Amino acid sequence: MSLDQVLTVIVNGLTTGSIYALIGLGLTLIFGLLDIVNFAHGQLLLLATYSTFALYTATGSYWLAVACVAVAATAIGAGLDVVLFARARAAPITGLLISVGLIAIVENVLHEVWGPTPRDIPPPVSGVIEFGFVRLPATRLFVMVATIVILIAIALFLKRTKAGVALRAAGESPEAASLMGVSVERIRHLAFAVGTLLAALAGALIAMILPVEPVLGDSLLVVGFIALIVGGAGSPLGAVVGGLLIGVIESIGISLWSGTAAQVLTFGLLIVVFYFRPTGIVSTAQGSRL
Amino acid sequence: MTEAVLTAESLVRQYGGVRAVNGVSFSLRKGEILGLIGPNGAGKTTTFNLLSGFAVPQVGTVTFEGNDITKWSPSRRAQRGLVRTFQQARCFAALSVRDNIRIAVDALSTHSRREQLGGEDEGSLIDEHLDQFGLLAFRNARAGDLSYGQLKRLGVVTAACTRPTVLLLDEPAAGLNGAEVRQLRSDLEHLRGTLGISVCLVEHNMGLVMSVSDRLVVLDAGELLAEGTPSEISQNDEVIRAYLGGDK
Amino acid sequence: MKRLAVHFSSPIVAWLTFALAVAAFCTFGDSLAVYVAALILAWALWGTSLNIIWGYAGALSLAQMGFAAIGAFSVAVLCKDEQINFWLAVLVGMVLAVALSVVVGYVTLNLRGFAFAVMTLITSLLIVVLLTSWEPAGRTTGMVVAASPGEIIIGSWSLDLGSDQGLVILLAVANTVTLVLCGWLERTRAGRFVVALREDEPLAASLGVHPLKYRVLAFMLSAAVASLAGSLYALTLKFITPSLFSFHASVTLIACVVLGGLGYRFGPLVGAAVYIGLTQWLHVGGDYSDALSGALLIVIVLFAQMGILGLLKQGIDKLTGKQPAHRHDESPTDELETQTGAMTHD
Repeated sequence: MSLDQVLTVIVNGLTTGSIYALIGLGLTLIFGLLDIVNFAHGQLLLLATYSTFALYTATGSYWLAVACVAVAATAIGAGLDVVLFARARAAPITGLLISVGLIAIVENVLHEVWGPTPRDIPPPVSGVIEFGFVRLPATRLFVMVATIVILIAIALFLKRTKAGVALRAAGESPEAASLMGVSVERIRHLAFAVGTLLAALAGALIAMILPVEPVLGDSLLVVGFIALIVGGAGSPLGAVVGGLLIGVIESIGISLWSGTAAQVLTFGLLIVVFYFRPTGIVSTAQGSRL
Repeated sequence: MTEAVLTAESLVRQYGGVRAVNGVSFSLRKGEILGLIGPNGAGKTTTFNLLSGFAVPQVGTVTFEGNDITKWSPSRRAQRGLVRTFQQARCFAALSVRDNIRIAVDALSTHSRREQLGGEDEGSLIDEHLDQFGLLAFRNARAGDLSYGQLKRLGVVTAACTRPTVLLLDEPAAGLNGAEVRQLRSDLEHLRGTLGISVCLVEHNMGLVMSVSDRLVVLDAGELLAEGTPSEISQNDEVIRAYLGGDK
Repeated sequence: MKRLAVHFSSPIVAWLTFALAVAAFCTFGDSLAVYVAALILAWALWGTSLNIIWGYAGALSLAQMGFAAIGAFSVAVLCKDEQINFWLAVLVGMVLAVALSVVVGYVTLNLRGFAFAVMTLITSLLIVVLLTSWEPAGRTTGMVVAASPGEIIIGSWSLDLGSDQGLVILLAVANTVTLVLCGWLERTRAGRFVVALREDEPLAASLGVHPLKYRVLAFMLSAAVASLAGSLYALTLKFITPSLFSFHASVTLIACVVLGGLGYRFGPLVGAAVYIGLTQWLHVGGDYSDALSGALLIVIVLFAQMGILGLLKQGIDKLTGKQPAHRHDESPTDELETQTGAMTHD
């Protein structure tokens, strides 16, 4: 393989990887604070994708569509936590089951409203840009830039804003945080909202590089999990690293062999990481939450 | 001097930046009741977990009957005769009192110490245990329905029914009223005297631990502060200071 | 809620009801009813496999789909063109599933509840992925199941087990055998250990019960049952695709088990009867029946975790004047929760 082919593979991998990173990050925020893994994360992402597409078609403005979906997602995320997941605090498995039920609901609705056939969603940017060796579709560049922006925004949020710091504190020690006057329940709602927002943003972006169909939700969810675990459950940085890693490995797998091989490779990565470094590649100070 | 049946040697256990246990060494001698005491945060529970297999030390060894058991799992230790109870009363709530004991007897029968069962029929063996500890009347009650004090007692009894060589008791008196503590004291004597079990207990109840222990080990801030008989310890200035005036 | 080791005062009532229902369906049911009966029984068996590892052993496993897929495709592939005897194919499937469960079990049964669920989910997905790219399995288009389980001939009366009624009988027998086996196992030492580990693992470990060994044993049994269920399910549907065993099956499976009552021996049977009956026979909800199932699951999980049998037991206890049980823990323990290695620290 020539150099620019290799670079293309890697760049492609980083692009999908950055979306995986967003998904994994969303899952981590929720898991880190609520101790539940929201299995419906993938479906919510898809809901965002379809909604973005619908709004974009209706209004003609991609940015407006994304903005609306982002706001809605945050509200929905908070709402789900307040109404449903808050009742599962004592027992994470209950939360897991609730999320499983949610999957069925959202997927059925998506299936009925938009149908099962894959759709190609016209992206807001087009064309190809050249960087020396690499010819990069504008969509992929857009996705990469967008995710970088989002990640920086989240990082700033977590480090610099009051809410973000409270979130991190509650993640490390809910008792200490509540003793300091942080309303841990509110923080959890916030975590769920932010997590869902990230899923929605990932959803808005994914349409640019993949055809969208209802079953996509499941495979993205799995990737999110793997990013979560490979990264070291509970570590936001780990989820990002995990997501990128998976994206690249998947890209390599697809270009060398096939889509199936890529998936097997990804699972293989999980098993290898799990076996040799169960705390994940980037682990938190307290070690794995697993 | 009586031989040591359980020995901790230079145990170190660190959590993050904190050394919960920092170079602790002591022994439990055969047939004795050893009290492990110290102010809050002294590292008693961590030491206890290291002895029972619920934590692994970063440095140091735990020896039991001549074997290095430092890395052994709790169930492996229990199968060899080293059993612990828990500070919070635990039981198999959905099972009856009788079935709780039955698990202990079942566990005993699965491993190399099964000759301790003496070939008796299981059912009568369980009833015998229950009778010994005065729980025969409760035998069909659902364990989850017992009072806290009764549950703690059940915990001790269940552990004892595995015929252990060493029994580690984690704050057995926590949450008990006066009458229950007295019952506990007589249970401990029974364990040591009739059943020949060596006991190590972590305890805050000074009255109990002073009166029932043969020897005491005092920890403070993760280190061994003093070791000796109860009367020696109660006169030890450092110990008194560590407790800020002591509490009896 | 009391899980496990709880039958009603006598299981005779349950068995009689079961036998009568099966007989009724076979004699009076039209072809749809008979088909639905077979489906119910297949899901009930599948649900029992989940009940074994989740209800009895306390570990929510999402690998049951993968195990069933192994059973289903073993039969479909090996019996194509009538090359291999159906029962031999079933056996092959079970052996494969059990072997896999040992490997997966030893690696993952130490983990906390959610981690175990995720790892088993990934196992199932891996199996499905591999099946979709495996030529003999027909890739995504699936394959026809042309197997024949044989005939029973008694005197001049014969029953083709591959016929609609025959399948119902076959499934009923499979369920019966499995449930009887479960009942027997509940009373063995290993069965008690599995329950003890579920009730309080640190306590059981501190008494000398090896946590991993007994959980893996339960997992192995659940894998065998799931594989059998998959084989019979394939026979019922007569056409299978790998996607049948993907994530979505888990919603139905979990719903059947939880609806009936987690940990109750007859739970999956009751749950499947109600759930599959509602969705496949009465078609409640129409196109939105999946969404309805999801909503139903959420409602049950939040408000009636003990399921139908649990509610029934509560009702009977109230009527017979038994006192409701209360635990003396400080923190509320959720019935569906599994705690691995949880301990109190100072």
